[in-house]
Amino acid sequence: MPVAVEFINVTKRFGKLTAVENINLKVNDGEVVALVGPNGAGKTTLLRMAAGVLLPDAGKVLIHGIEAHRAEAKWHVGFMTPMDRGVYWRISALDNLVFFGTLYGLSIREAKSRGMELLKVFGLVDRAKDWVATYSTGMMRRLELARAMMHDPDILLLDEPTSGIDVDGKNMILEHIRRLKGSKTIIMASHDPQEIELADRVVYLNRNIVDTLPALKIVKVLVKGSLPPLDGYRIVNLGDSTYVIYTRIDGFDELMRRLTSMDGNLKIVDLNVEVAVAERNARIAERVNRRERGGWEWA
Amino acid sequence: MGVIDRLYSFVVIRGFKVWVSYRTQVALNFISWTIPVFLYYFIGLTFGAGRMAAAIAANYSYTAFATVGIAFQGYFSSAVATLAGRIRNEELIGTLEYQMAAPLKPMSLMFYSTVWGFVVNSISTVTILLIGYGLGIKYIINPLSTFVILLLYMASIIGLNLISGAVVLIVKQGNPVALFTSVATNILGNVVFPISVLPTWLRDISYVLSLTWSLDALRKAMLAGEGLGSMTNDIVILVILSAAYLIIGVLLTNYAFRRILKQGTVHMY
Repeated sequence: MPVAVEFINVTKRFGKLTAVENINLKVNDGEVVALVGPNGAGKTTLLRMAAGVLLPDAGKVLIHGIEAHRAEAKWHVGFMTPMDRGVYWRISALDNLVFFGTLYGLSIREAKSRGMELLKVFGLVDRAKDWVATYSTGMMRRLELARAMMHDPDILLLDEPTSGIDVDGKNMILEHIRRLKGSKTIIMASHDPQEIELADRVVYLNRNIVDTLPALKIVKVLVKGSLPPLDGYRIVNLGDSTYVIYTRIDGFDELMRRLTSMDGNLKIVDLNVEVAVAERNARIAERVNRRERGGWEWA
Repeated sequence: MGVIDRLYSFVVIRGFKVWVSYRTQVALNFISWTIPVFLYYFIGLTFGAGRMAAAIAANYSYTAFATVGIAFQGYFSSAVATLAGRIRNEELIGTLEYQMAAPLKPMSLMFYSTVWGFVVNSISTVTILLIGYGLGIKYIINPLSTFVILLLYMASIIGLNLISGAVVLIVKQGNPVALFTSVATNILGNVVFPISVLPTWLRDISYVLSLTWSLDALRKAMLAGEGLGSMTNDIVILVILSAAYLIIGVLLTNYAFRRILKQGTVHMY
């Protein structure tokens, strides 16, 4: 599969502080990768280097084989940071999008058309001509994502895309990212389980790459009744014939098959999906991996 | 096609629409452009034509001398501050990083960022010249020489803009270049008095300012209708100064962008 973004032996220091060291990472076309780690792990640093606004001290960052800081590479990339600045507050949302669209070679007409289309997608079309200063934080974040997509890049670099916004805005952005899966290469820096669960791969970062794994989802099944022994699953007895059964999402179908084939009065009361381990930081992941190679410690 | 669209974006969207959103500032701008013309008109009236004519050695009034000076010095002082101020604003707003994430070379970004400053200063220049006309100045304009001098002057201004913008990218706070050009225009730039009245050591500094030679030539071209032949000295020196400013500006800009990309300070202010 063609490689969209590649970090080759990348190191970046800010004075005496090493932000990232000897990073080697390939992201394939159409893949969604979540960068997870504690604050200061280097997630934003990697995204900035891929966006071409930060040069590595060692190594290379390539976008489709071209160094990321070159103009030719930047055509492919849409970039979004978690700051709530980065748009002009005293002009309209549409004017903002037209401005940034023309930086990527769109004509005024194309930029207006594309801008209106994106504002519609992100539920901002009724406020297209309003000053951005009148927007809520959530609306600004959606506008910033629209800005990143103006030139229809094949690679999106999103730094905490739903950070600090309301539920409706968050769901809108998550839904949009979900729709882009497979057609765009997305690298997301995230602390949010709902963002992380969209990823095909989670990269745990703490200056170096700690581990790379699929986004891990856990299903918790609440059952009530008479539960016979069930091997291979973690079971928590809540008392009063009520149990919580934990399974990885790839074991869910098998669990359901076994539960439904049981005799007796066992009722499935509730289900809950969580993203395990991704809710924690990379330091925990480091300890887990050292202690239990190849397996996971349950939340 | 792309250049025109980007010019529209930088001049109309980023420049004009944001400028007019600050209505009070626009009004203050117009006032600041017009008051100096009246100020020097009345100074001229106070001192009379005789003393100034000896210093100017030309056949136009002090009001005309000062009006042309004020009209065109804006490019030198505020245009320089405009680009530096624009870059500082983009850093504060957070948009500079997104502009640099776009496939625009640093020189192109600086060029587009400069254009609005030229537009605003052109409005002030025309306003001041018109006020001068209303106060009785008789313009005798040689279009060709005026055009050539303006071209060379603008080239030097672009170089100064680049130097100023690069300095702001590096130091973040403060703008020593803008301070220098402000002092230069008020005292050294041949703006409201001829440099012949300055002591020799200050006059030597005036000679390295493109403003000094541009104003000298523009007065000949616009107040006396003189052709290119009578301002050969000014033209040669302007060519040298413009080239020097541009070369230094380009080198400094490339260095500044490389430095902030390496340090990761694009998004900082």
